[in-house]
Amino acid sequence: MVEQRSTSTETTDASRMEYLLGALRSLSQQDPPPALRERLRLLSYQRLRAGVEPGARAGFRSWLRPAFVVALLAVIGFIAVRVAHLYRSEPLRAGIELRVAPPKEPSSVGSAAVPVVRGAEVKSTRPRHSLPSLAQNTTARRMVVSLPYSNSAIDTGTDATIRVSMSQTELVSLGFPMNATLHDRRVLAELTLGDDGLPRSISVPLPLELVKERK
Amino acid sequence: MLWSRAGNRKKTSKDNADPEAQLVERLKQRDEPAFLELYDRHRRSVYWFLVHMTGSVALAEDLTQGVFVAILEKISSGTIEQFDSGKGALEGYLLGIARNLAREERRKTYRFASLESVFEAPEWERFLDKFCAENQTQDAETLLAAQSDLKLLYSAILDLPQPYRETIVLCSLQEKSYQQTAAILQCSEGTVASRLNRAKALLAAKMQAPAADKVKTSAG
Repeated sequence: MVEQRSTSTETTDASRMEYLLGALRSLSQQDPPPALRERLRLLSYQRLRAGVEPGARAGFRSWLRPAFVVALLAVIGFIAVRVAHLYRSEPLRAGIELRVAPPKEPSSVGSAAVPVVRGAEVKSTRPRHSLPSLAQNTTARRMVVSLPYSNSAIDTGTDATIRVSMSQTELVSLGFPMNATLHDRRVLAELTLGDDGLPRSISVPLPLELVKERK
Repeated sequence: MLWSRAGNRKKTSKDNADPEAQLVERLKQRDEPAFLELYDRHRRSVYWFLVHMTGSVALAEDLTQGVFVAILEKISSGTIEQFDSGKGALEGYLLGIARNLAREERRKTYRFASLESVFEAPEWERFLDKFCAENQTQDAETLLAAQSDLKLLYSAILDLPQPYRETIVLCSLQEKSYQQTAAILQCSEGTVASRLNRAKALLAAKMQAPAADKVKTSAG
């Protein structure tokens, strides 16, 4: 009796499930939205009818990319060559190149190791690269070194300069790049004073103006 | 001998007259109306297969488009030439693509089927109206009970493991034969039959479980 009941329950469940599956099946007869067909129609138009053959388009793309890269490289190379050429033909800002020798110890002042100024000899077109880090400003025809105890952030409003002569070793010790000096010669320089009376910077006009050292 | 010759002749003439073979030929020739004809013929089965497999109407729309775009790409690139209509039907081919896309989507997003998107779709409302009209159930209680049962069944289908779900969707909801289902799922007909039985058993168990819960709740 119990077995019969369970069998009949299973049959009822199965038929109920089949019925519901049938109901779901009838749901599956609805059409997808018409917009989907329209989108596909446009896509098929683009891909099948309009434009170039897809194979040809792929070929076009395949050679277009390397061609673009080559063109880009060519432009970059051209610009690099132009810039290098510009640097090379740029007029010498400083007018003279002072080659940097390793600065001698200040104790060697007056000894035989004092550097000697040679005639103006242009070696390179990039004076900035040959300057030591202490040299902060190089304007045309002038080399300026701020003094370490000065504060460049404070604008004194004065432009008092004193013309002085300095020994070449002093200039070297201050960071002025020079490797060639003449014996018994001092270099004319300009000392800029602040309104507090303290010197702010030393500038050396180029080409160097040398005066004979007094004994 | 004569019988076999006659059979072959008959088969050949049938192939020539087969509209599907002609459609395939037109597709191979990059015929745009043929593509739209393909869509019109198989849109429902692809779309509803994807709805049942993903449980989301919006996702099914996207993936249906993906299926037909894949066909467009095959036509454009010429790989549609490899399709042999003698080996299988176009519908099976499309459903195979749809199956792969649904799997890929599931793997990619780990998205669980959201029943709400199906049940909130206007198609569902229309279907329920139709269902109630057919069954002469105008009262709200019967309507709610039917809706509840259908939701239960649908969620049970979506909970089935993938092979069982594919089988029940193709055999029970799309009325494909075992042979067609086996071709789409790339397995034997025996496997399809056993999967279908197993899927129905699982569904029955899932349908009974909430009913038993209801009885327990009312008794308690």
